[in-house]
Amino acid sequence: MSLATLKGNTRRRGPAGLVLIILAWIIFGLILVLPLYIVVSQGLQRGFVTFWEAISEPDAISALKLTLLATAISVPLNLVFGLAAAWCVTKFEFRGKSLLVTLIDMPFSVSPVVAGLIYVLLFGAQSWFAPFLNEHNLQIVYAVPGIVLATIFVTFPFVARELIPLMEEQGTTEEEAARLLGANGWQMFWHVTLPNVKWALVYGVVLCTARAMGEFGAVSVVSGHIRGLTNTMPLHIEILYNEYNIVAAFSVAILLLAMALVVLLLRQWSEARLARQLDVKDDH
Amino acid sequence: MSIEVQNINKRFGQFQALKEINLHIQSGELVALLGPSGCGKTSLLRIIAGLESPDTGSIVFHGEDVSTHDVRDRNVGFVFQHYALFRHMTVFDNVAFGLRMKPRRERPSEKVIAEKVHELLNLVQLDWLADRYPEQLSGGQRQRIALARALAVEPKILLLDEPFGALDAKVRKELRRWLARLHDEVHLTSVFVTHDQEEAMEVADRIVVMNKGVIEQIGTPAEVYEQPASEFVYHFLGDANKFSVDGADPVLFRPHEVDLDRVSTPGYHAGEVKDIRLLGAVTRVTLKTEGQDELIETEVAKDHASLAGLRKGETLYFRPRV
Amino acid sequence: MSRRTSPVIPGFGLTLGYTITYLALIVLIPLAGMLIYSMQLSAAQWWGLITSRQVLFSLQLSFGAALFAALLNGILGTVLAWVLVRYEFPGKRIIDAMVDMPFALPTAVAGIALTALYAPNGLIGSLFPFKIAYTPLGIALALVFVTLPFVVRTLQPVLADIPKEVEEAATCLGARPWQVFRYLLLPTLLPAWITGFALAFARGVGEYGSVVFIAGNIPFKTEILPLLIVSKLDQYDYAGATGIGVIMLAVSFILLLLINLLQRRFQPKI
Repeated sequence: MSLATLKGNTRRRGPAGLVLIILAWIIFGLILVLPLYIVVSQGLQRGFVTFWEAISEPDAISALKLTLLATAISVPLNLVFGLAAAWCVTKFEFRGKSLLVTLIDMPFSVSPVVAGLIYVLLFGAQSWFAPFLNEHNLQIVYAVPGIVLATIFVTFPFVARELIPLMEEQGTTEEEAARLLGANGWQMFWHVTLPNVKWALVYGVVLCTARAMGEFGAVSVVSGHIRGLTNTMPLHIEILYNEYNIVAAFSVAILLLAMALVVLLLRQWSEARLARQLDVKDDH
Repeated sequence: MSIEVQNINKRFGQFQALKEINLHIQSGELVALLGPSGCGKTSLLRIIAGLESPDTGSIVFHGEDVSTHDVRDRNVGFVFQHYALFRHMTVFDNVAFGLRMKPRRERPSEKVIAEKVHELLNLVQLDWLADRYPEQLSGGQRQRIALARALAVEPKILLLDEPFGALDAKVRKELRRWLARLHDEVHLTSVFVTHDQEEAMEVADRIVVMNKGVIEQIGTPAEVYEQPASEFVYHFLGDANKFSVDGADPVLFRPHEVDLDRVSTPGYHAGEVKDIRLLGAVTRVTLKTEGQDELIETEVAKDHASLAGLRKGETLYFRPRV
Repeated sequence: MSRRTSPVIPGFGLTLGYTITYLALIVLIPLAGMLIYSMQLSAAQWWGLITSRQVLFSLQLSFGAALFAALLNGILGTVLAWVLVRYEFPGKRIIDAMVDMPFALPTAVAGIALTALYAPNGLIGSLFPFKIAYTPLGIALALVFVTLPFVVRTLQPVLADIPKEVEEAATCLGARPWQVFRYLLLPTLLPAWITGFALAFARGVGEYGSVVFIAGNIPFKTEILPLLIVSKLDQYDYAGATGIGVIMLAVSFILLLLINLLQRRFQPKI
């Protein structure tokens, strides 16, 4: 998306341009930077030791573990799904394709709270599955499986969305060439398709990971907020905050902020590579 | 290896791309599929390669029906219109790809692969580019690398889709002479698709002229040019004039198939000179005749007697040699 | 389903089958479950729900705040996109990278940070004589933060794709700057702008994490729709929660449809 800015399309600026640039700086400072400054300053206001205690206490650690667990399950699943979906949508023509693409995008337009709600309705105490689940002593909602499910739902389209436009643009001739040169389906995918979409894939995974680690609404609804058991990092922040333990809440928030910054860096990095790849395509 | 194309039909939705195509290509021949865009020539090439499956009919290589064979087993070399070089691999790795994809027991060692790749790169005179990436090459270089890559797996048949289409005029001319020479050396049965009649005439042993999904004529360049089987072929293979006298059936003749004279001679027709263009060895004179809106274009050697001191607006007499 | 592509590319059945199965298991069946559950609500229950003052108020608040945020971002986002595409200036790269911060930053973090910022004793909140946090204004400002990237990122590629020559040609033909903007840039940018606006609006209506802290959750004052669902669930009012969920789903579906329609009508740019 910000590829746009990398391509040379800039103009000479007049006085109006200067005003707009200053305005952009103000928007940037007020809306984007100030909240980040608040997080860091609040989290570190009692010094580094307090910060360290807040992020190393057992509940914080278990929240971190649960967040990593949910991420570690949902990202690979959505990665495989993204590859499969992008493959069938971009390499083949079939009826109902645009409907399929719309449905893949749908989790983006569903409120996170509704995403949580649908799983509560499906697996909660009042649901049709409740007797079955009780009988087998299975707990999905208000337990780890529910958190994982909700995380998968909200991060569902990320990888597919990054891959589809790129693979659409690249077409299928390189794959055809590989097949003609004797590659089997798997060799073709591994040696030709995958390297060609590498950076888009990295970027999709990065976005997916960020959202999986940071999801709040959907996870909050299915979690049940059991300390040390079903609390993820964002939920842990909420609890601390509601207990007026502001410094601890912001201390944990610093960790997530650092993650977000890493995401942005990785984004810049993978996109620069993607842009190079596309530029190469342009002068074919 | 000979290629036999039998009763091929292909439809894309409502569009009939190929109708009852029958074609025999002899071993070692270099054949051009020539026609305007949308005539089905590329579809036919892709069907021969196995990249597209026909609705009916079969493809036979050297007596063996390969219609149901997977692309990998057809052993054809294919050069794509935009080359389809693997953009993330070096030139060396591109050429080596086919060899590295072979099943383990058939796969040569890396040392043998390296030798083979360099041999091929020498053949296309680009060995010095082995470590470059496709993005760093010119169009003509990419084209030759694509060819080397296709030849690496020692195909029995070479198929080329508009091999010179994406190149500029000068590189195009060089490359097609080079390809004709290469074909003489390697002597692979080769088929290439083109919409450029000059290219087909210059490179091919035989030309298959196609239009709207059917074959209009098959023949040597001389045959299709001198004895066109239809008006379409006549028009497609070169410039043509249509000239009718007094509502009689029009005659077709090429610009150079004409006699010119400055004075009125029996059997000659008068025309007003609209334009005179020196085009190198020949000069083109455009004439307007009485009773016909379409202009007549004639081409004669630039030192032709009738041209001396000729100006626009004068009257020139011409006679089609048909 | 018919298939019309090169027969040498494998994996159609496998990938399509997998895609549809996974989609059905994770998204379609759970969503359908909610719709089926909502059908058990009687007409009277629906009526009671829709006309309850609490729901009506939340609807109004959620839509109002989301509309305000989307409109404000329509302006701020256009400025940012314009500046980032058209000018070279110090700090351009960092601004461009940071525009995505609201997408990358977990919403709960944004929520507590914005609350601290706009609280009566906060850095910005203390500058104003009136309360910002715990009022609808605070909610709207939180949504401005969260939805800022939408308009910027939809406009940027479209702006960059307008070739210099088009404007130069127009200028050569005697168009004044405002005419260039009115007749050339506006028609090209409008579809992308509407798309960005609709995306921001849809996100704003459904947003929870960044709003829940700054809202303060005072019924009839700062209770947004998603919050209402959560509080109904806390009271084990599954029917009520489902009803509101279905309404929100319908709204987001209509918006999605609208965006798709727009993108089909104009060239697909994002």
